[in-house]
Amino acid sequence: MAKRVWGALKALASLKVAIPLLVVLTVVTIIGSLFPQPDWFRSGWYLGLLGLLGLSLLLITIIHIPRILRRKGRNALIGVIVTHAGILVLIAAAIQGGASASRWDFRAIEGEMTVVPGMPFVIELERLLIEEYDPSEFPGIELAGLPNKRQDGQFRLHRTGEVIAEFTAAPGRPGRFERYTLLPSISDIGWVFDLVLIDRQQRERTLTIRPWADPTFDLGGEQVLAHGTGLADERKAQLLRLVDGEPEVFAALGVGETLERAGYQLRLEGFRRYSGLSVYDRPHMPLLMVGSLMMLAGLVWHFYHRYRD
Amino acid sequence: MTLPQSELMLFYFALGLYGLAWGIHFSGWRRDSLSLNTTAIRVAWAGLAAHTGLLGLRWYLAGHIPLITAFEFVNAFAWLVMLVFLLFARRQHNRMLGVFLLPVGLLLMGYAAFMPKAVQPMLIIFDSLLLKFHVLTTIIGYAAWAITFAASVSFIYLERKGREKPGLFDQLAYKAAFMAFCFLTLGIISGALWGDKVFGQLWFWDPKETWSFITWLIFLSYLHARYTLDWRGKRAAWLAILGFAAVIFTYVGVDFLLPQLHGTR
Repeated sequence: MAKRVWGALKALASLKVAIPLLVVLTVVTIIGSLFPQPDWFRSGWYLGLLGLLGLSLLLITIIHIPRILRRKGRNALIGVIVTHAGILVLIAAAIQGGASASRWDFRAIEGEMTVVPGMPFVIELERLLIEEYDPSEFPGIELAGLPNKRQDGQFRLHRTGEVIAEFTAAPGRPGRFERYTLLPSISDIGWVFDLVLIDRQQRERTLTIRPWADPTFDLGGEQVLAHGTGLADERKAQLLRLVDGEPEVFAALGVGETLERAGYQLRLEGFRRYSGLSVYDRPHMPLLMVGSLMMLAGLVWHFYHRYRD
Repeated sequence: MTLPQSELMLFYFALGLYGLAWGIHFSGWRRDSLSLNTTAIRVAWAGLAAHTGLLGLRWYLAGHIPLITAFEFVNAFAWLVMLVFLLFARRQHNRMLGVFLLPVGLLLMGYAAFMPKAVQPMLIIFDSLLLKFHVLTTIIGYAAWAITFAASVSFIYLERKGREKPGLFDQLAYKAAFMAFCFLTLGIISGALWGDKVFGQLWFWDPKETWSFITWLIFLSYLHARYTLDWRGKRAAWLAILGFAAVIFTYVGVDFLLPQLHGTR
């Protein structure tokens, strides 16, 4: 058994195995890209292949170092060792990340506290300041596909009833607290609002409209869909109904306005923005940076010495 | 902002001069005429001057480094390919590279000719040093591999004809491949770091990213094949050509064939 393991390790430490592994990895990556399948690059066998290549790299580096250091032109070869060691550090960082990183993806609504199970603080999105691009600056480009010009979220973090941090964060400018990073989403933003529905018997019911939940409700026997639209100063709730299977806008309500239809009254209230948020803790980031720097430093060292010697 | 007439004229003027340079260079190469080759290099320098003027004007008009739109990326890539070729061509022996490198620049410019050319204001998320570094290092990496490609094709041609010193092109291909690998590595790392700052994730397996990784793996295989398996000459040259096909697919093919996040089209 021990003999077999040793034989397998010796084979893995050989370039005759490492290079075919590299070729196989390239081929399966091409297949995964040309014929996309869910989780191809996260599947156990793909990660296993990467791991096998990493193990092969580790063994080659360990076994060949003493020989390399005795060889002529070793200055250049030290660069090769540093580069390979850098790749190993990157793999170690990825393993550390898989084992210890934590991440929470959720949505926060302006003026509300958001409690996420497992997250060590409560997040309050105090305000979300949005400035959109002027369409005349972008001729021929569909503005719906562009991010906002400014998208600053003012956040407060609470713990045991006390404010522990306050900061502004935006896509590209994440906020940081202790070892956690808070990043607002670049595209998952929009409006939430409440519709107060008063029926024929003057009974009141509040409908909370959230884009990520079912936005349809019954209005006098008709299925109606609501969504928020417009800029901050002209925000409206559009009401749509299905005509021949196609949604058709039949009314737009401003904040505080009331619509009467089929003996029902609808009043718009509580119009606010929401933003998708990611909070993450990645203890492996320093190791990733060290691995990347080692890789690059080794390459430069190798190139310099190879052509100088 | 629409493209001013002067900018458009400079673009087509540069394209025309490069085309002319290639025509003269090709005919000089067929006839083994040194004077024709020298003329071609001079015409290509004139084309590069017009091309540089175009980049400068665009930088001035946009108010930011012209590396934001797909047109600007291809334009800068073509400019770098031409510049690198002309710097190499100062040595007479290297001039043969132009036969294969000038068409690469020409094709890139031709591709750019069909792209929307409007100047766009800088989106706030693009206004990042890291992103500019990513684009610049990637372009330099691709341009260096274009040299590897041209040197490898030159090697195969000279070897088939039984001409002297094809080994010099083999060596040049290797040196350029090493540069390309270093810059592409830098480009991939900086791109991942920028993506992390904006989207909160280092790697998405977006088709453009995946194909950059595939290209990087092919560059890596080339260097290892040469360094450890002692591949030289024709075998290494064909692998370099495969690497260049991957560069072109990463840049052009992915845009047309695979849906993606990267906005290079």
